[in-house]
Amino acid sequence: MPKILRILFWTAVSLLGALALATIALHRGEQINALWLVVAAVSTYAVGYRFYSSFISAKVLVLDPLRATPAERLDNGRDFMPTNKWVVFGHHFAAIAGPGPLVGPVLAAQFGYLPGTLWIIAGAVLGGCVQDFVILLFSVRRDGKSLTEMAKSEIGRVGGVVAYVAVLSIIVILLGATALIVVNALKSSPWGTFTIAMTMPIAVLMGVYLRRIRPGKVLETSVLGFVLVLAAIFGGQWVSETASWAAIFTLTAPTLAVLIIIYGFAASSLPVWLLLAPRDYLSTFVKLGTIALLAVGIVALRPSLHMPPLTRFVDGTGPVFAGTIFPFAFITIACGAVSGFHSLISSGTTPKLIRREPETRMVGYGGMMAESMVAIMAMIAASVLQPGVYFAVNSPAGIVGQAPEVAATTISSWGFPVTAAQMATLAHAVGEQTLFNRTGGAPAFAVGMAQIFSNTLGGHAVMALWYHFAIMFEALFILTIIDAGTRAGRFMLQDALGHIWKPLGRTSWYPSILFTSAVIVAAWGNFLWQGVKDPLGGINSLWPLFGICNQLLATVALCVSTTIIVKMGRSRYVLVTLIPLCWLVAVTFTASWHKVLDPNPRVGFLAHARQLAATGANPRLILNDRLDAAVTGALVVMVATILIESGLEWMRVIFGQKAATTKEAPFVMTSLAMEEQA
Amino acid sequence: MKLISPRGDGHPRTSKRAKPGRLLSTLSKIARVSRAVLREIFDESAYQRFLDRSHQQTSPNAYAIFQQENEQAKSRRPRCC
Repeated sequence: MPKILRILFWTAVSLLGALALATIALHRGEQINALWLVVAAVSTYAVGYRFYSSFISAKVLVLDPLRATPAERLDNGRDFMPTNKWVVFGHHFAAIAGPGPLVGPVLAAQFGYLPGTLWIIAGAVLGGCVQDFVILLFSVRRDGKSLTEMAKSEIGRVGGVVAYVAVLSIIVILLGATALIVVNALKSSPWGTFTIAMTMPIAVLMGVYLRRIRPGKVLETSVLGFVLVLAAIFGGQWVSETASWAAIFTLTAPTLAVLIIIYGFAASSLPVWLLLAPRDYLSTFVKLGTIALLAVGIVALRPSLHMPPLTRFVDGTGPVFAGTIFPFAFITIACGAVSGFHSLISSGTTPKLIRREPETRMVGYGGMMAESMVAIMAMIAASVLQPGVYFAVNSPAGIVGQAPEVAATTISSWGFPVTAAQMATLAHAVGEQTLFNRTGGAPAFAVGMAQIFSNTLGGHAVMALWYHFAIMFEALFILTIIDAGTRAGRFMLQDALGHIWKPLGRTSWYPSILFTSAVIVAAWGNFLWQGVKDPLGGINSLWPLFGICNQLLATVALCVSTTIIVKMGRSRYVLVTLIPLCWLVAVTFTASWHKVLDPNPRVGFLAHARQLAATGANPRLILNDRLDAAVTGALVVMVATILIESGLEWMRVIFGQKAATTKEAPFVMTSLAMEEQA
Repeated sequence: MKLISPRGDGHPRTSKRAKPGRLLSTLSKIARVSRAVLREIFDESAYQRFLDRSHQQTSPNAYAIFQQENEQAKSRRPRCC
């Protein structure tokens, strides 16, 4: 394309993005079309990718197309393997996209669609994409080393230990918080519970089919599993309409929590091929398909947003979770904007597949952009709901009241009109007994998605099927995270305990498997149980705790990145990672301070514990609050330690007290470039 | 507008005739890459590499060995949030 056309094209994209951002930011009093959010996001991502990531590639990281990557040098046809960049992109996206970018934006929509949308777009372009990109490249230059190994070698031993503890903590809290979302989505829902229960025998059937009948035909098996899951959704409708079966599958939150805890323990101890692997394949298949379907649906149907850009809850009195926009909007939306968890993937499998250094830009920066787009779609799904309906679904009974009439009156008094009859009609339309107090984000997302699709695809008659498809999709996602996460946590614990007593480190020794699985399940099970018993719905305390953990891990990743950039002698470009790092430090430390010490019992754990103690509440609830405060405090102290250690390292290098040397693998000329030229 | 055939036979062809060919080739490339992405995500390519490396034919036994080999790496990987 001639230069003048390129300039005109990018000017047009920038102007379009600016117009869309101005429209969503300045529009007041009227509904706007969801397409404005899509245009604002896509234009900003395009400009960010074309110019900002290009600047980072050329000036900061100095990507070298002639340098052989570990995939080429250490190619073993197994872990290390030079792979087509589009294939790596798809693989990386499938690994980073989970339920986080769907749940966080739905919860943050209580502030209105504007704060969350702006944070998703700006956070991704300037923070999340940068983190994923630089960590991926640094891992590629270090033979695919993990984040904890890089923290240890570039910052010091303390950095390595802190990164290890942060990773284990985030896994445990993530599992507790996401399991609670499933419980809240399935409680008193025979249809949803039956469908999800059926995914377990379907996964076992897939495992046996894959192992015995059609070895290696995973795609074919996943399609078969998907068809069976669709049949289970239809079967769920029959179950919910048959009194005797409905009674069996109508379960309370505590019963569901116990079943999920038992499932987590079993999945961690059973052979991978029987349950974990087929579920993983099925979940990925449904995930990719549903995300694509949602994207097409939003662009084709262009729904209007009913949620206002800003609600009265920007003052921190929101019913979904308590706390002001700063810092809580930025904690609630982690995945989709900046997610520390991604640094584990960017320094895990992906760097071992990268064929040429310049491809890290598309995979790392571009992969995160794609996930951010998923978060925008979730924000749209939440915002197409009438605000009264949104708050009725997402508000806990402890805030709005248990009885439908009382809850509807409370929500209407906030200026978001809704009636008990309207909610009953909606619940009937989606095949549920009630939609009040379905906290956690998943039911609200499912209602939004069902509403978008039922407007054209099948009409109102199939709204219940769309709703239960969305619930199945999210629950399947989350249960896959629970079984894979419990197992990954178990391995981490076994690695650590192996240093104390060798047999405990043997991953095939059954007493060790059972013991470490029980420890990990007990850890996240405790958080889940705490959420189920919490009169405020649990999400109020668990999701911010998870957000803080995730962002603290991003702080560690950005500390490592900044340290490496300083040691590369490129201190003049250090702001690229230092600005997002400072922002995350401000957000996470402020949020942690509020969550531990805020005098408002709805925000501060200790204030809530004092309030419970004053009313003579169950001592277990008081202990939970104190435990949450202790966990938050401990994580902040550890991350502060790594920050100080990194800062001292930067000073030593910048003031010449220490040589600026990094621990990169030695340069080896690629042979792929010559092959391509030939 | 006249274009030279990419087959290198020197025969000129019109841009009208070139477009469907280009479109088909782009579509087939997209389909090929999409299939490769799915095969990689769903470990079918990894299994094929295993079979090539170990000079085996596909069989329940070979797949069991492949899964055993992959188990450590796969099950150590947490799924992202």
